[in-house]
Amino acid sequence: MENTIEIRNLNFGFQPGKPILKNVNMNIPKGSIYGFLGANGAGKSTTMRLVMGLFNDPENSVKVFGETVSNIYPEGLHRIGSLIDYPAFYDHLSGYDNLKIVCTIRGLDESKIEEVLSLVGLSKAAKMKMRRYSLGMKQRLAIALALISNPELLVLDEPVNGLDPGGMVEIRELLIQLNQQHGVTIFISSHLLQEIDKMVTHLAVIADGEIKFQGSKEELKELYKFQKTKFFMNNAAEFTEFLNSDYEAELKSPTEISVVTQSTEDVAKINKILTEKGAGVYQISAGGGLEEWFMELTKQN
Amino acid sequence: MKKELRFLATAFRAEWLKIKGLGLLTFGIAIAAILPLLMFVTHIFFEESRNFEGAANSYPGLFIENGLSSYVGFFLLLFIIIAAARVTQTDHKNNGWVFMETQPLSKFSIYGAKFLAVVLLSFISIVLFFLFSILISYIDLAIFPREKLHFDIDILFILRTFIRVFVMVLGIISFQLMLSVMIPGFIWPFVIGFVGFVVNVVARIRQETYDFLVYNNLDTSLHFTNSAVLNRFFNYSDLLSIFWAVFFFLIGYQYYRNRGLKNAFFKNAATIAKTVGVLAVFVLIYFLLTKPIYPQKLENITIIEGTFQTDKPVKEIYLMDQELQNNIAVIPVVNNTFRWETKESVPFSNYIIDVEKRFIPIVLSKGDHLQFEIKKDDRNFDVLRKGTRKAEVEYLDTNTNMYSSFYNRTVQNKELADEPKAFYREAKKEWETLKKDLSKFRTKENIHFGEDFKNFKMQQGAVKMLGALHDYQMMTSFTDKEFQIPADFKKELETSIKKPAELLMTTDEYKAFRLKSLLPKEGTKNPDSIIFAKLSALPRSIEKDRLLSFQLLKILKITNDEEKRNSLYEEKSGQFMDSRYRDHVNRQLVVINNQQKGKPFPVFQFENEEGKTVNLEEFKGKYVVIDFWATWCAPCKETSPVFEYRAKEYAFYNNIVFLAASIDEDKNKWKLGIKNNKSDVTQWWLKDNKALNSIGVQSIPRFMMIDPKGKIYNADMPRPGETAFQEILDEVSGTRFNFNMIF
Repeated sequence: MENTIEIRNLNFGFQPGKPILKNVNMNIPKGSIYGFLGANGAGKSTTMRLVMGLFNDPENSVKVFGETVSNIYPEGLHRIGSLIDYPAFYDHLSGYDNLKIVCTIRGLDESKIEEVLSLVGLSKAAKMKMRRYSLGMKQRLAIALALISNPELLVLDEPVNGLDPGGMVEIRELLIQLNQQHGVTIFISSHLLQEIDKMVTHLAVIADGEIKFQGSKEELKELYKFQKTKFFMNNAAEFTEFLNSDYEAELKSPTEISVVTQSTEDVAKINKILTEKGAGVYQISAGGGLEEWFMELTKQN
Repeated sequence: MKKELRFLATAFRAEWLKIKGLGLLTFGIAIAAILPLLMFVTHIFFEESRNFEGAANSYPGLFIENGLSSYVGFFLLLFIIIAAARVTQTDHKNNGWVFMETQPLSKFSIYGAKFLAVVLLSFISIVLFFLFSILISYIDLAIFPREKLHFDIDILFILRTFIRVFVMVLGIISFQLMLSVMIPGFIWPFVIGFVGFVVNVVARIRQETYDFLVYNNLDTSLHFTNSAVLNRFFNYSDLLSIFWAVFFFLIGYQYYRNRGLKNAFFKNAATIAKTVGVLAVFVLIYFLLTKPIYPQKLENITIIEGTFQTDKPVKEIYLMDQELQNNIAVIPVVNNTFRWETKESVPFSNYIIDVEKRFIPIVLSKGDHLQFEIKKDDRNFDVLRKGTRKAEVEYLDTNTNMYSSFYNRTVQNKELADEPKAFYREAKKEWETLKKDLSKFRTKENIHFGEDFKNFKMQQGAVKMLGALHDYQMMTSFTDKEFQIPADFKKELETSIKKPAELLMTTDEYKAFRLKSLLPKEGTKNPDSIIFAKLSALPRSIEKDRLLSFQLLKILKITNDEEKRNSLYEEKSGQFMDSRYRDHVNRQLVVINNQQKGKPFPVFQFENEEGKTVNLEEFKGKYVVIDFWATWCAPCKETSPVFEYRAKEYAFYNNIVFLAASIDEDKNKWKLGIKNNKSDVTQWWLKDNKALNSIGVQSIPRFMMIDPKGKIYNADMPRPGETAFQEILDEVSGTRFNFNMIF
């Protein structure tokens, strides 16, 4: 499978001895929605800037569309739409005029402006000066600016920042639609784990400049599928001690014990121990979720 | 390359879209209109501002010329600073640079597009300035027609001015853009631009030029709002503007492309080497552009040529030497053009071109090529000079009568008689300043003196200094060690006049010094007779003639008795070798005699306001105070009102008549000039306006007094504003007792 973005052994820093990215390896397959997760300052924005050619890549660690960043830009940018750091636009102009500038630069027909504005739900505010836009409106327009040229690749840094829950759903559905119907590769970073969870096909987790995980969602699920299992019963506190000798068990609430499990056999065994001790287990569920995985992964440093 | 141009075109179109909402275009149009409108409005409300007394001229051209300095030097400059800042601010804000850099555009095109945008805005403003000026000047002249001004447009002149203006601002556009890209705020580029403006003001006051400052280059260029004066199409400062434009563009672009000065120029050994190399090239080009210009002298031929713009064609002009004012050549003027050339040797000296009694002083030697464009009418005499010797003329214009604390105070007031150390220190300082000024002096075209002139001026300064030092020692002591001139100083001065230029020997400073040296050091009661004695003893030579004529004229001027004067002249006239010098003294003597108090005043024919022919016989029995003036004489406009005031003051005294005699060629001009004059001054018109020359009067205003018997009382009165004028009036009015009058 072709990779739209390939990053190999990327080391990057502004000052020698203070690396920001350490030996980063990432593959963003064509047609995927690739989520990029990490805490603030972990290196997400830096990585995305390197992909966009906003920083110099002297060792050619980054390849986009199969070519090094220095070779493919600036023409290659025709195929890419982006939103880096925070929305970029000219606030003394209207939303319409901002889009017109992109059309001028990219040689697009002006009719696309109306199209993309309705796509992001800003048709009514088209002629208003952007300095009067709300945060959510600015965000939508920034997405419109990225989308208008029908790019093959979208590089989006926290695109749903500042949107209300309804807006987030809209944008999420739009992105998924673009991906499934038009095959647009989407490289997206976010803090909002639930949102990311609902939309990505692949993801990477970065902490302190190092990649902790990189791969498809299935692969991640596999890796942590049975890591934790939750057992729900009344008076859970009384029964925790019975598990402590053989298993790592944690009392999560008066009705919940979370246990580290390695396999299905473990789950059955634990259930047997609890019920034999008289616990009235009324629910067993897999504890692995994106948030857990995330906290786990980033905890290791 | 072609790719870059495509990027640039695209980026520029995007940039122009961005500018739309900024109001810069409107601002540029407004500043283009301000000055022409202001000038027009001033003309509507202030009648005096409409007066035009110059020579015939194209009004649109004049309008542009008048507004150019303020428009370019202030308004356009302000506009460029603001535009460059605004254009970059839109991207400094709101992540604009990231927006642009994630578009398919090269960094060169992004930076270049901003540069082109500011250039285009300035271009539009300049074009509009010219158009508004022409349009408004038409309206202005249509409503307020003025005699000498016409609607014709000299297309070439306007085009040349336009091109020069456009070129002159390129350097500043590039500099301000670079600053605005490097400094994200709005304030600092503005402050730096303002500092540049202030530096220009300081430079003007100190009369200095700072070629290394891009702002001062603009000021230097604006010195020539009339480009016709320039020897070449562009002034060196215009070329410097292009130089800076390229230089600052490179720095700004490299800074932007590499994200910082360090990265751009000092990242590693390779970049440092490249930086140094490129810098060296630029330094070289800078020195080439600012190299002193010594106008090319012709080989074996000297040319004086020129054109006239005049309503009364001039037939011929004369080339004279300055010392004796003898004709050297008669130059015919055909179809308002003249050209004189000679292959003979022309000694380096001061000369004069006489255009119908209007004098153009020139410096000339073999190989010079002087070009003149002269506009002449009865009121104006405008001379535009091109060719060689520009620095010399400018220096003479600005530096004669410059105040010097050493000469004008210390020497004049005979100070420091008991402090020789301080005196010689000041003298030395004066001398060093002169040397420095002479070697540094250049015009705003970067033109320097010829060696011959520089040496001459040094020698002249040395001789003047030696004269002053001689006087000091005369006053103090020649023998006392304390008062000796410091040896090295003395040696330096004397060495510089060891081989005096011919021209030096014609100067008053030299003659005065030589004569002083003839006097005994211990002082004497009869300096003049000693000088005459020593002079007679000298062998016949031109040198002796010069000294003799100098001394003789000095004495004749202060001898009051005509007989004594004439006999003195007779006594000495035989000693002259060269009849020119003798005749020169003789001519002056005649003038002195004619203006001698008690000489009958020549009979002049006048016309009074009613048109009747009159003369001074009418006022026999009274003192007549005459103000000789003309409508075209500018200083007369200041003295005539004072004269009228005096007339009012002394109106009570029946024995004094105040008469204003105009020497206007055109009687109608005179009539207009005295219209509505209700003063106590009688207004007459002198029929023969050359009559004054016959009594040796060459310039006006001139004030004279004739006594009740029709004889000259005072042929050269002080100006009416001076106390001495009043004192003379008091003498004759009887309010002041003057013993001379009784006996």
